[in-house]
Amino acid sequence: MYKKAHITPERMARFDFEKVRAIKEELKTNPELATKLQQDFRGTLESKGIVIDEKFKADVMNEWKTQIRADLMRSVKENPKSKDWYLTRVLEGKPLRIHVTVNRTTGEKTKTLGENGQ
Amino acid sequence: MQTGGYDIVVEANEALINKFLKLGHCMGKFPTFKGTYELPIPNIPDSLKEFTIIGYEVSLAKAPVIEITNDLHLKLNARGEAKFTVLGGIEFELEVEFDVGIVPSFNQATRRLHVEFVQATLVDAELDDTYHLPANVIAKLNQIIAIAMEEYLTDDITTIELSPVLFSTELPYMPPGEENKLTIGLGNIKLLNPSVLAVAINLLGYNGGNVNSISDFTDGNHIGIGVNEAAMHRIYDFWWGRTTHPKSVTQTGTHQFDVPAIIDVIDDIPEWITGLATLGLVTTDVEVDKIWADFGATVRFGKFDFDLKPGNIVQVSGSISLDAWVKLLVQITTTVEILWGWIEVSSDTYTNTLIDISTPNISIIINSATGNVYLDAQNRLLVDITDLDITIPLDWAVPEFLLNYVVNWIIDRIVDNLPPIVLGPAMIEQTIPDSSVTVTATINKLFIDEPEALVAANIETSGLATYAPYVVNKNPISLEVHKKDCEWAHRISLAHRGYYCDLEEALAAGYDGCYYCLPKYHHR
Repeated sequence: MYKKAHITPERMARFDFEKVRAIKEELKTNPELATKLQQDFRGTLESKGIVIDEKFKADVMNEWKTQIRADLMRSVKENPKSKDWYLTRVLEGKPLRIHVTVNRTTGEKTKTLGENGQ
Repeated sequence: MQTGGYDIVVEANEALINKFLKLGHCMGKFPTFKGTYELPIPNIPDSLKEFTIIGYEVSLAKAPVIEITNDLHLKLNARGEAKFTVLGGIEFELEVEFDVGIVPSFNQATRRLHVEFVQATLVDAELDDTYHLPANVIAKLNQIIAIAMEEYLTDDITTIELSPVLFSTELPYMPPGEENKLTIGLGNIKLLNPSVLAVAINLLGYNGGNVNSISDFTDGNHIGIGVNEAAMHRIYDFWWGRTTHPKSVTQTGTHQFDVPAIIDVIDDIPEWITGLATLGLVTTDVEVDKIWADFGATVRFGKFDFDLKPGNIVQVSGSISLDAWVKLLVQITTTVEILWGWIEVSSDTYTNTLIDISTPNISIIINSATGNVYLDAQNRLLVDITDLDITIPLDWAVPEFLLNYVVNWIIDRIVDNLPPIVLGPAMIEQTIPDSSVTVTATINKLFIDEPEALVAANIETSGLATYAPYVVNKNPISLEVHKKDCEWAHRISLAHRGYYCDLEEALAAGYDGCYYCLPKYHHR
């Protein structure tokens, strides 16, 4: 086991999917809905008129990617050491420029970010 | 530019040529020649006619030697024994020495330097006068030998090879067929100095070059081979257009991450899992059991551009097209059932595809790549890339641990699968056709300058034992030389056995002739 976590409503607050936004609002005033979701998640969604089809999944994934990107940007911002990471370049919308040195004797490849290792 | 603008210049040192003359001698390319000459005496009775016939038999005691004269001509010198039979049966032997003017050429079919003796000119034939024969007799015998020698060279020997196979017309990873071999055109031959001759060769229909611009780059080695950069480009273009070497490779991988590798985002992961699995609507306890990635890439290589620089540096640039994909999977245990179609159920655990990205046709630029020219085991000129800058426009907002791992994996796939940059064919083939002799080239110089690559090597041959006519016993208590077919030669242990092509050399090395097979040289 890598990690055990208790996910509280506060930790879920930032996950905001447009398709279920109305349900999320209703949860604030309807505790029974939370129980229903825990007992039969999919059935409860469908009872609220949500159709879980390919379009639904695609829409969720698009929002999901945005959420991940936002989380990663926050993580990079909070961690000063990350400025040389590949991820920093990606999040800045810049291409990765990687200098590779190959040791032909050992086959080892040393990679540094930036042209000529700069 | 020392190659004079030709595609390939091969320079052969006099020592190499003589080494191959010796090899030819050892392999029996200079057989004993014999015949008769009838003295042109008019009105001689038939009963006396047999006394007008002079028989001759000439054998070369040692290998001929080629010398480049100071006025830059090639002269072949041979020494041997001439046995004459006169007056119907009286035999006598004289030593004889020949000088033959020769014109070497490059045989495009065999790719070896050779001499065609049909173009040879007997410069001098001289008998020693052991018997103090009258001058007019010696002159007549010399005349006979000269006539015989001309016939011998043009009828019996015709051609003698002076070098190993200088280079191959085949390139690596090519389909079969003559159309996929390099075509050769002869440029020119030039004697550069009293030690070295140069052969200028063009490939693939090119016909440029100036023979007067060729200079000696052998540095005292047996052989020098220079390849012009323009030829390298032509060879590489020819190779790239036809090679069977894969220009596209697809590989996949999987990797399970451990906690230290993902520590920076470990707190986010249970939230991401729960957030995606419950659309942010349900709280739960989550245990992350396993995190791994499945990924893959198809790398399509384009033809590279290269440029030779001084100091054995090659600058390389090119582009690559990449399809890449990655999935980050997390196996979890939760306290509630959270199913909406995204999560696959496996017994009491869930496998959550947290990230699933596939990006086609990513255009990767390789620039400022540098490498070195090297000769592989077959003496082919190739480029070994040691440094490169890779620019990848990858818009993958994924956790750093995943991005790092997969990007580095992709780079490794690119570097490991780079098609070779073939600059030249194999130089100095290791076998000699129709023989068991093998050739070893010791490369002593590989010099890359901006317009050309220059290689200089010494050549050794092995496998002569099959051909050498003399066998010596190196055992200190024996030190005898035998003819190869002598039964005493067969009794020499392998540890003490040695081979000589020339009897003179064996005797000079201190071996005594065998009592049975070489009684004339037996003195102990």
